[in-house]
Amino acid sequence: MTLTQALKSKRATDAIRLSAAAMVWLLLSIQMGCQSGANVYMTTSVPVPLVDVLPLRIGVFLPPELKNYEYKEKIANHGEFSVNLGDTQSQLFEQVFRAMFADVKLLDAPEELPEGLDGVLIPMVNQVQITIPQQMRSDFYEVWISYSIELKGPQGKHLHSWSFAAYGKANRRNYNNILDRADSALEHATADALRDVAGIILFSFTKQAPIQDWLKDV
Amino acid sequence: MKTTRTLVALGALSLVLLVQTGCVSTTLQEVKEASAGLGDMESIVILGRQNKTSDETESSFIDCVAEKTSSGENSLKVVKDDDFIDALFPWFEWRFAPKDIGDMGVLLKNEKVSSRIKSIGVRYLVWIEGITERKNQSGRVQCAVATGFMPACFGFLSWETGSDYEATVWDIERGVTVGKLSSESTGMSFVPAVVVVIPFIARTQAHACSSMSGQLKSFIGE
Repeated sequence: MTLTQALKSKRATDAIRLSAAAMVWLLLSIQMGCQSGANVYMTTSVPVPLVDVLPLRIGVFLPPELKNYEYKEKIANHGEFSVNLGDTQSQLFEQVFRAMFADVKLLDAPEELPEGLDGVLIPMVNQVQITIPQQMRSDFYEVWISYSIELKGPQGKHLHSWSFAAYGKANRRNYNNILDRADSALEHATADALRDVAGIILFSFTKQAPIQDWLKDV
Repeated sequence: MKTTRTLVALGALSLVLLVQTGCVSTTLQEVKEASAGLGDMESIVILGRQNKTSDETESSFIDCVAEKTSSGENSLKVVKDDDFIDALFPWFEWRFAPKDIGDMGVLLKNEKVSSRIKSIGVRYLVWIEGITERKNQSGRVQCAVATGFMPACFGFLSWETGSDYEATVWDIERGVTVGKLSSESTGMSFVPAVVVVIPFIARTQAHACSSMSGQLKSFIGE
């Protein structure tokens, strides 16, 4: 065998080894993509709402549990899924309440009652649920977030606690990259649910009977 | 060495054949209820209809129709769907979006909403519904790594794809439904594999997208 032939033969062997390694990597990646779950850290924000402002001065307390909320679930055969709602909560509620009320003051403690407030709002996450397409035999990643918002009067008296559930979904067909499909789709579904939270508060909060009574009094 | 070259050649051939498409047939229909026309300063927005319980139109299809409608001959000015929905937040979120032209009329009585739409310059709302579905799949392709770490596949796979979409066009200024367009594309895809995989994919969604954007141009642009 000449030196040229030996070099060519070595290159061919290297090419075959490289192809085999690439295939093994691809198969492992697909396997990981199918079974490794998803980790989502939400950084999306909701747009400035286009709604009428109520001429009220409101205090808003955002509990640490709300600001650091993280949901984790292990789904059999599909890995571990986590959704960290993190910083989006502060942005979401500030954006929504500032659009709804003329003056919003963020409070450091729920008992804090500055002069001249018409009421205090305290939002909380009650529950998060997720489903993935494989569980429902559908094309959708789905997210439900259940919240409650407590309303306290100007003197700190509990007036009402309103609970509601928001929903978001994302079509897996919109995500072509199999390696990060679960992360991207779950993030989209969660962002969708957070927009739904904003919409529900903006449209339905003032329609609650106890809230309407409070609005008449202030 | 000869085997390697043959396999490389077959691989290249399969890549060339990758662009080959299966047969697609498209049926178009349109019902026009009122005249239409777009002024120089006016634009349209193309939105996917969403709801909680049913399938929703793929965002790639909405993007494709918007892109094709806003480019080429007789193009129309198209506002990006996300920009429109964000500018009018939360009125066009899936839960609160107007379901029919009557709802839209009620919404336009809100001064903030109507002046925002006017400032964006949107005259027509195009709602798209429908999906692409794969059905009647049959056959099987099996792949294995043969001696010398070379992958090889054998078998035959085929399926039918249907892309069925409908667009409803609202004239915001006059508060009327201008009409409905539909595009139904069906096609057969097949994937024979003898060592290498040679797919013939029926790109029904792309056909439906081209047809619908062409229809929209002639329907609204006139």
